[in-house]
Amino acid sequence: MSETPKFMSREEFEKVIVEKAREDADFKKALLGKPHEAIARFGVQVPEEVEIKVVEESARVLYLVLPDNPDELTDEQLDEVSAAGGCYGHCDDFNDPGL
Amino acid sequence: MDNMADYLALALDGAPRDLFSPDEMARLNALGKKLPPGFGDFLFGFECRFGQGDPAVNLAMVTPQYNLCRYLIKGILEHHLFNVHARVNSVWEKLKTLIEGYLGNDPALSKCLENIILEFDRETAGDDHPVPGVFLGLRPYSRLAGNQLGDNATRRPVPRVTPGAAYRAMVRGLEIIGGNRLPGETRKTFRRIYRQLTPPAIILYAGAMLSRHTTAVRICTRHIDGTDIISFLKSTGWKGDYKTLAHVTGVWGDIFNHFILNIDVAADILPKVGVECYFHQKKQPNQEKRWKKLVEQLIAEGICAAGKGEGLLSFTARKHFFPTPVFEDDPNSPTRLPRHPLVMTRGLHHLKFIIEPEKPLSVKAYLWAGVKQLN
Repeated sequence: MSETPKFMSREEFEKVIVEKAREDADFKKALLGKPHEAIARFGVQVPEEVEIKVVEESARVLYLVLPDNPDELTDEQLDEVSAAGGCYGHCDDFNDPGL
Repeated sequence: MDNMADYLALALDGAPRDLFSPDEMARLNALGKKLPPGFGDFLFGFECRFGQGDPAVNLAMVTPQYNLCRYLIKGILEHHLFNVHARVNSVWEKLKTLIEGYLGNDPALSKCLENIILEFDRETAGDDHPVPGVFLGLRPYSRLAGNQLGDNATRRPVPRVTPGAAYRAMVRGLEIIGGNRLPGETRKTFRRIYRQLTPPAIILYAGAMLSRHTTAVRICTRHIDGTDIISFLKSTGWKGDYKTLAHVTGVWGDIFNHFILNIDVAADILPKVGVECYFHQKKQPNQEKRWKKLVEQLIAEGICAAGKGEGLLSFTARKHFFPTPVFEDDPNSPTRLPRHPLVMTRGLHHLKFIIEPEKPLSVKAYLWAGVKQLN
């Protein structure tokens, strides 16, 4: 919606990283060894609590990535995302009227 | 982020076009550009009408819980976009007074209000200073001591809110935002209804629908089941369509776990009512198979367009977004500011059936989304 996108999708970001790793062996080594530090060189800080696994495919090794499944989010995680401890309609605590 | 439009774009990235057409996205974009970016920290709600050829999407924003929101909301009140609206449109000025009261200037409000919802109707989204409907979310009120009530999200003890204090806070908030005392008849009916609600039923929200040019007060009640909805409305003297209401609470009552009744209170309860329907714990379609059954049934009844039903079932998502990279070989460059990824999560919240005289039964879907910085 904005004229100059300030954020890019994960796929777009990964493409930039992969291209950089292809053209820069030092960066690739750093990425495989210390991914947080390597990505920080793009001015992007991924929190340490978020684990990053970098793997390299070959002719005989293929990796299949199962996408994140938001259906498995707990209420607490949903609330955390929204920063809203309550929720749109307070439906969290229907089971416990507390009255 | 300069305004809300950026957040809305992320929240709705890849959203089903049957629910969010390009026209609706453009409308939301235009609205988002007029709202301070601080609203991006709120939970967003999207109200989607389900009928064929009915593309309307309304936008709602829910403040975080009281104890989490002070610094967030303060920033919004100080933002120039908020103040531009407040200088020109008195509703925004009153909204500022209300929010300041909620943040602590008015003990009656700060003690009893849990959160505030702003709802922008699509019809007014194009206005220079769009007027939101304002809903006041009440803390659970009861006769129990505060520490016997639990807050599910934070497990913190919540202060005791008595029914009387909750009522006074509602009226006070509505009068601040409306700029006048509630009309005598409305106040009288409101008080009567408040007393008629049988525990455990309580009022969850009270709202002023400012953009709809009505002085009626919207009341949303929780802990009321299908049978109780009908007997409660009968006890109030409601003169509406009981047959359709019974259909909703009967047929759909077997599918859903919980209801929230929406009524509009003026001198009487207005004939149009809404019944919000919920599943336990906000479960999404992959985990809650009843969503699919529900959509099939709505389509079969002719109150949901097939494309919209399918869109509903595929709306749930979680995505990461990354700041546009700026590669620097020196990782310790002092000029670099930390920039963090964002995670967007969105899903289905509930449905609402609208029962209105001389009109066919209609249904709206309520969707939510949140965008959070990963840091």
